[in-house]
Amino acid sequence: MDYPELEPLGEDMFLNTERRCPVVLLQDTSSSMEPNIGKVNEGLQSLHADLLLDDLASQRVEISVITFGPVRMVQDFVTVDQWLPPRLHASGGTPMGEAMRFAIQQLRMRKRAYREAGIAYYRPWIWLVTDGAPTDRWLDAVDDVQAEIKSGGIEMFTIGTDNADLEVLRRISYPRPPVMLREAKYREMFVWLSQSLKPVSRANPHAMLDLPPPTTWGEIRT
Amino acid sequence: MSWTYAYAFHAGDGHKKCADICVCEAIGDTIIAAVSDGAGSAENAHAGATIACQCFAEMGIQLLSGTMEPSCLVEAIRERLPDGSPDSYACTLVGIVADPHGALVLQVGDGAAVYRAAGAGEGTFQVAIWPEETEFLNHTFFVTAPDATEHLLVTRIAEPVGAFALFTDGLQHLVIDSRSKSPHQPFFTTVFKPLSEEADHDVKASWWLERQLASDHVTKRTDDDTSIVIARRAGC
Repeated sequence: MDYPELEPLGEDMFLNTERRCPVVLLQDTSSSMEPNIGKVNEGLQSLHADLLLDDLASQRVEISVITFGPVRMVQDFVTVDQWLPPRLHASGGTPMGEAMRFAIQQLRMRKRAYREAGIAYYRPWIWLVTDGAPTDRWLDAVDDVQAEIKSGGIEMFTIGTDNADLEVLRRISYPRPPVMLREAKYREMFVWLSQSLKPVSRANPHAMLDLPPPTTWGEIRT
Repeated sequence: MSWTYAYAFHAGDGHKKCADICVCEAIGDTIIAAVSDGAGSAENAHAGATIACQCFAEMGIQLLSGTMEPSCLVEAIRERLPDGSPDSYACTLVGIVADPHGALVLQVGDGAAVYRAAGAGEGTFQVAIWPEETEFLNHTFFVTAPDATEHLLVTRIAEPVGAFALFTDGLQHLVIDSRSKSPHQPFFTTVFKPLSEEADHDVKASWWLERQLASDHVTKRTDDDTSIVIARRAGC
């Protein structure tokens, strides 16, 4: 069956829909991370490479990299196809509280920018990785994070390695339990993050967040 | 014959099976149409969407005449759902019923109805109801939910409708500008062109619509399910 007299709709008859899925990588770079910082950097490369394989995800997922300590914005929000993964260096303490506050503040600004530009967005993710315990006043920051989680404003993930204080992480990301990273499997962890972000950014707008278990790289600590 | 219509749906790349449903029926000089987007996460979403559209088709005339309250439609849909969790049937609904005097448009969740008044010129399409907004993309309201009546939006159009299009969320962002909340006129000006006035249901135009939904223009911009109903009154 064909009706050659019916002309197809043209490219300009549709709007380009801009959608963003903002992700904050909140990465501990305190001096105790020194032995593993190379693996973190490799992991960031894997995250980038794996997301790039997916056209829609690489245009929709926006990565921001914030390190602590000290708290520093290493990369402001940028879509994956424009992102050059940084080389992080380890030094300083673990000001986790300040880092979380900063991340929430950055996300608020980003969401405002989306709204002003008419860009629709998915619920932001914060991906916190640490090998230690906070060295600053962190309790108030936990309240801020928890308020965001309860109002449905963010998806909060905490990942602990080595001497991470799991009790602190549990309080930060409650009700989602922290995951303990196994054998410094940063590459596997970041690939998992990429794989989990793809379906989210691929816009089945009514889907519930349904994440695979992190069996290849970590252990859920309920 | 006073109305000609066409419809199509297309399963998005992200889905195996299309959970969008549309119905359209012309009875004399009245037309009833509805589209429903079954939630991707709900097991029986396709069945839910079918029930929602059927109920609207059955009750549309009473809704327009005012002999039935819109909230009764929502209750009827919930009653018709088979036993089990209503969440598993989660779906949205956009419906229109139009006669020579005016129309009623009803909506729960996303998707939209766009229309042009009879006798109005090209480029005068307008959105009947702006869908209730949520902050995040992956969140909407469902006609099958216990709180559906709180999210039920209804509008009456007090002039004859010349043409309309209903579509689900997958197409919404491609043809409505979310900042100006206005229809993308080039799409609506063109999409009605293949409609002839030879039959109620224009099979040829439906075939054409299906091809458009499956085209790169659409599938490169979204991998959600897409569906659309278009209808035009004779001479409009």
